[in-house]
Amino acid sequence: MTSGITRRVRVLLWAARAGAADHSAVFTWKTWLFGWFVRMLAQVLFFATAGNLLGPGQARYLLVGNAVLMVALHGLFATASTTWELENGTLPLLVASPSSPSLVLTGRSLFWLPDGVACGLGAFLLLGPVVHLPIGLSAVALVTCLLVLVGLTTYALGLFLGSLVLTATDLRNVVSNAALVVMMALSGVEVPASAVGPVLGRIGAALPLTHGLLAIRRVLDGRGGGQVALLAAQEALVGACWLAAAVAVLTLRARRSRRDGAALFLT
Amino acid sequence: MPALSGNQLAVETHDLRREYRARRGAGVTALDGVSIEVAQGEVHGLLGPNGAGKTTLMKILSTVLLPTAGSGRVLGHDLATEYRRIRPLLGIVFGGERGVYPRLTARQNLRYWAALYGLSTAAGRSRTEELLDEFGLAERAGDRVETYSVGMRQRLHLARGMVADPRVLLLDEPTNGLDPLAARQLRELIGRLAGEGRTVLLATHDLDEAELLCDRVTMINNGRVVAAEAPKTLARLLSRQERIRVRADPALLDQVRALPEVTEVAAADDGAAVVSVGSQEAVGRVLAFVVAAGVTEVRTELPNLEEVYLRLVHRNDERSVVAR
Repeated sequence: MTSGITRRVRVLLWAARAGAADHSAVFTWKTWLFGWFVRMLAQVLFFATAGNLLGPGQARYLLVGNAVLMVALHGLFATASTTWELENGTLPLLVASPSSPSLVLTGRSLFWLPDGVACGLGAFLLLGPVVHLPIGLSAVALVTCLLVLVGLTTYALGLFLGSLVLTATDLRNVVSNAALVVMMALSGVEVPASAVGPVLGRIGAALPLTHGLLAIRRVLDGRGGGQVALLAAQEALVGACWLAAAVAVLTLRARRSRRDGAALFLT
Repeated sequence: MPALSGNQLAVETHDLRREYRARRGAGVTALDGVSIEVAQGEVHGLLGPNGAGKTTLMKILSTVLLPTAGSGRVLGHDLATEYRRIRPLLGIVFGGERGVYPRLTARQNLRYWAALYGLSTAAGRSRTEELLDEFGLAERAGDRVETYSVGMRQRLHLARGMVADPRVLLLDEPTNGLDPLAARQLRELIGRLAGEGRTVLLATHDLDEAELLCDRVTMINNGRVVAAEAPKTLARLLSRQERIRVRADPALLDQVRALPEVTEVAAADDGAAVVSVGSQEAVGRVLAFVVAAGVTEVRTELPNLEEVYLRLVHRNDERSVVAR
């Protein structure tokens, strides 16, 4: 038997591997590159083009917002893929194993992270020149790190939503789409967060993506590192809160399911 | 497998009761005071028709469900409070196609479950190869499970249940949906695992399977224990020498049929006749009659487990109706 942390990391990695196998069954590299990736670029380009019609600077604003939104979109896919475990019929066995099912479910959808970051970064690098957005090498490195951060924080939200709809699988896409639209409206993707008023602004501040996106905008504007670091820390804090909420809900559901025989882990 | 100790029971339950709340209307009682005892190293069958409560009992024993009332222990650990101690000691195999990751290979599945059961990387690797060999999956170990036949998947299920070398193996209808050949192969594997001194609790509605594999069986119907004995003892309990197999001409069989003690004369597959007698006391009189008529090929026999099962379940159903 191995130490607790090593064991948990290994379980997490194996869960991620199981998820990645599901992903590879959906996409080959060709269908991903020429289908999925192009579709993501087209969406970003659509908003950037619309921005061109709105006035100077708007195309760039919308391109940045929607490129980062692609990362968030992949993070929210965790809502749906969390329920795949239920479809495999492995949940009761996971619950009956000595490991935590929450840990497995946390790792289960991690494969979306590199997919999302690749789409977001690809949008910056390939479509940036269209809106005259020059990105230096150091900015690329920093933006990549921030995209990973946004991927992780939105993943935490996706996991939370997935834990809520774990047994209501018909709701999984409705819930993640609703969350994405709310983030589009409140997180500064299409309009600045300050434009939605103080109440909605506060809600936006509690969502992942908001601070991370602002940090990326600051990097691209060439602003100081201190401000970027503060925004990144805020983004990380928001993500940690959502992750804690997700784990709490999963643990609670597992406990409740054991007591009342709810369908959760017993189908 | 860790060494077995003392005379401690592997599994014991006392008056287990499990109710499911229905959203509308009355709740459902899946288990209604089930008490069982399974000794270490025993292969114990849980027999019963669909909906009898076997799977609910298996879920409670596998620690994913709490009983509404009553108590239970696995290897001395309380099911309700010490489930964390029980989990590493159990191997669980559910029947059907679900329960493994279809897009992973068999090797990856076993390595994954080895990690879940806390085996180190090296131990997980060697245990995986061992199991792949033992369960006849080595040749296709690198193929995705979704390409496997149902029989291969079920062998993988069994291998997965064995990954942590459990002391107690819970098998819930493991041959469900298998063709006869695959079912036989799986039964041979289960027999081999039981031969290693492991405790096996086998829920099934396949009576031949129970008769073949089990040291003892507990019959459950409507959430209650109907009987718990060795398969052969059960048959004796129910009707010692109630049946007489006789090879005689049709005229004599008509005379036998007319005897007041005889309840039924049925044709057997081998051309003989099976005479059912109303009571044990009457057997001697019927035997004397056929021997006196010059019949030399005659023997008494025990009912098989299927007949016992049907009679016990039928009796239990009748009692339930009367009780209502």
